[in-house]
Amino acid sequence: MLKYRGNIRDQWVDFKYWGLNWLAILGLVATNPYRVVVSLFKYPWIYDLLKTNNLVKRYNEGRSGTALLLSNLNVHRVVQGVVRSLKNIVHGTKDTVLANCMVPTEIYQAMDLKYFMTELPAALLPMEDQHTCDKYMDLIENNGLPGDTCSYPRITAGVFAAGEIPRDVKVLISNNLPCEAGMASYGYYEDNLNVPAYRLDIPYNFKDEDALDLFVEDMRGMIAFLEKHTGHRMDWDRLREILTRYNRMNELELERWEMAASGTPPLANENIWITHFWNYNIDPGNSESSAWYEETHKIIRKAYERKEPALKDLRFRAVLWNPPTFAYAHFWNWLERCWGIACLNDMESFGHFEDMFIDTSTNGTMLKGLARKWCNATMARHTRGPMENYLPDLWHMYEKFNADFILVAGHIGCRSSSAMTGVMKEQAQKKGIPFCIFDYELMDSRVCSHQGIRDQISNFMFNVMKAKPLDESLLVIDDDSEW
Amino acid sequence: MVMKKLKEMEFFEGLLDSPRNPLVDEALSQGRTAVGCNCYLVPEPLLSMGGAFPVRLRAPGAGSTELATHYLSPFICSYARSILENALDGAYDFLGGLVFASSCTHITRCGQHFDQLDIHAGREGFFTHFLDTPRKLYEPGFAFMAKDLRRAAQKMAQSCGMDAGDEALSEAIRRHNAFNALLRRLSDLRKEEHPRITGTEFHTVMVASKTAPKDMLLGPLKKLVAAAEKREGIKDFRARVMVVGSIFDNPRFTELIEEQGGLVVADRYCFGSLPGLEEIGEEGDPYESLARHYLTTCECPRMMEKLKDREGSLKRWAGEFRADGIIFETMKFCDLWGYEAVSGVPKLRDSGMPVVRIEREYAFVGEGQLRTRVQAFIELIEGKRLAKALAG
Repeated sequence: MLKYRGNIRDQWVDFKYWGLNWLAILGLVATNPYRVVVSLFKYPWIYDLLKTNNLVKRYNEGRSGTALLLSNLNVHRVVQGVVRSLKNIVHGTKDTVLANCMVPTEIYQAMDLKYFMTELPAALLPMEDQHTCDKYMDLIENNGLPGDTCSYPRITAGVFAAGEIPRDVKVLISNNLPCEAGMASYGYYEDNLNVPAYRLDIPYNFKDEDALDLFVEDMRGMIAFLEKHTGHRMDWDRLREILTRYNRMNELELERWEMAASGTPPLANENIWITHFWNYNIDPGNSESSAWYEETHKIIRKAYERKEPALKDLRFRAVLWNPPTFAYAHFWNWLERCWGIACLNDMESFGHFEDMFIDTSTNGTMLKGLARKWCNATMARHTRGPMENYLPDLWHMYEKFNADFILVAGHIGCRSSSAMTGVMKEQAQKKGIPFCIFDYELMDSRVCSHQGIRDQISNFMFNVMKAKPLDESLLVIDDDSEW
Repeated sequence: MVMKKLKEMEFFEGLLDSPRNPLVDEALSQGRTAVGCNCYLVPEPLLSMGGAFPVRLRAPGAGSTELATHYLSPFICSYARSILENALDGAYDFLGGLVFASSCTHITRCGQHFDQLDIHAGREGFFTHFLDTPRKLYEPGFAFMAKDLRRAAQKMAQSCGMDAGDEALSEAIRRHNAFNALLRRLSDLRKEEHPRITGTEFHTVMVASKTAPKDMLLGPLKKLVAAAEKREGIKDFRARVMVVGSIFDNPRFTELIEEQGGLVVADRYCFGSLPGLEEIGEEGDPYESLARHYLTTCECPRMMEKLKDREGSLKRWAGEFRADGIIFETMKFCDLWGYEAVSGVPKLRDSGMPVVRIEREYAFVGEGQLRTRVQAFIELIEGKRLAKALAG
């Protein structure tokens, strides 16, 4: 049930998006009720996506005004995108491209291909319900996968092992992102799917021009492969439209960051990272993403001009490094309400996007721009390649957003970032930057519970920042068995 | 298993106790340059031009990795941590340069710390190069890697004042091939019904050949091969096994397996010979030849598209070396081999091959547990053999 928010305007926003989310979901059912029912048996994880409005509730506890509206818009945008993805499997998968989450999806769009991201269940389910993926992780561990590998590909492999990822697809496309575990997991899928596969190889030193050219060649190979196996042709004009939209989004994204860096940041926390994660990485360049960016930008701009901060009681400005807590999706809300912390940017979002505008003048420049964009995708630009990719951006982000401290989400399954811990600590100490590394497991809250995460942050706030909580009753919450 | 020890083995055994072994010392005293490397994908002939010679990084006697764990965290494999710990202790101070391959996250991050922590500070002319090694086989990738190998060679040439031209590399490839031809003779003895060399002995020779100048090993190796070829075959083993996995540079592990009666006849692991002893093409552009050879023969799960080929290779080698079973050893925290096992182990078992999966640390620890598991595995192979005989 929707709780009364204290004023009619907020209540209306809550109700409106609650209804719109349900409408979007029912819209999927309406396309073909029979196929949807069959899909619910084939892919039972779809049930868990019905918990979305509860997730919105958890995100928005105590929020009002622009922050509440943005959060609702944010989740609704994701719901629309997920529904579109689900259509690509619900209505049959024989023409669907099964793809890794970090392959340039702009190419599928330009080729008018149906695609489904293998990692979609893993990316969404732990946010909906922290324990819903436990069974998948247990299953794949029982099949021999070490329990210490990153839970993102581990859940995906578990869903695959359970037979809940479509197998009768047209082709499989993957690459070596976001990490080695993700890359290796595709060997397992490829081995068990009897379909043609193409693997993109993102070079190690992707800032080198030769390496970038190599990746462009590889992308050309992927396009030729897709044309051969799907019968669809590459539509370069459509690609130009998509990339033009992306360029506009990029422009808006940079403006949003400028506003977030101000004294009264109108957006913070998941309103920054989920936006970027979804619209840049999962579902980039399409007209929905673009329209959403334009719409929310106006709202953010107005709040900025009114000097309305994202948090009613903003006490601390922070930036978050390493991947955010998927299995504790509403962690941000606790930061806000318990300590008045606003995370103004994070590793998933931050990068040198001022250099990422794509020249759409020729097919070659478009591919080169796309190559640069995807080499710099989330988890690729920082956790891969030379060490210099990792730390300078963190210090730059800290300064740019005038942060009081850095929160480092120490995901124990992330080899690449955990191997930087020592140098990061030393450099932060040398620079006199307060920082808190909290250990956790990205998508497995059995390794570190929600309370375990909260305790680590509270200890830091008490002992290093010498702060007092805004609301002491939130220091310890019994939510181990909640969604 | 009782086998009279070959006196020629003592020489090789003496090279394994420290990265700076007596042959390395001798070469250094002649003014030669030792170049450290971390992976099969750093081509040995590249580092063998002029007076240079490759030293594959090892951490013999690795123990606590306290400092390295501070830098790399406890979630990085213990090989990478042991190497960094050794480096911080100055164990590789004799090196004149390092060529690393971006082979896996653990090794890459470990290598990056050499520069970051300025481990080679004050050593004049020291050079490092990170090879951007492709993960798939395609023509642009071969050309890209060849270009990268040239860059590494140029750095070496500037640092060591040597010739890195095509002819110098071709000569290094010829010498490498000649050395490997000799090693192959030794390796082939393992294929016989009664192998004339133990797995421990062969493992020792392989590790020595990757950590000491090959030209200085040539004489002792010839003597060893001659002695082994005259030797009686081993008859009192209980099962022939193949060891498959990642970094495995301590022959003490192999010895433990053989103490249980499992004769190690095939070695598909880093520091092993499968792959490693194939002839490198001597025609055409030598840099391209190296790139093509190493990418094509690499059997590491880092190569994205070769899973089915790797499964085929394992079955082929198991047949060639008449292995009765496979010990699939993976290093803790290794994602690549973790996923490889999920795909590969069931397939091998389905083909009728007994397989045991062992997760281990780099250092020789957990001996009792390991012994028990190997013992049980050998019994399983014997049990299967007996059941087959009774059924047949």
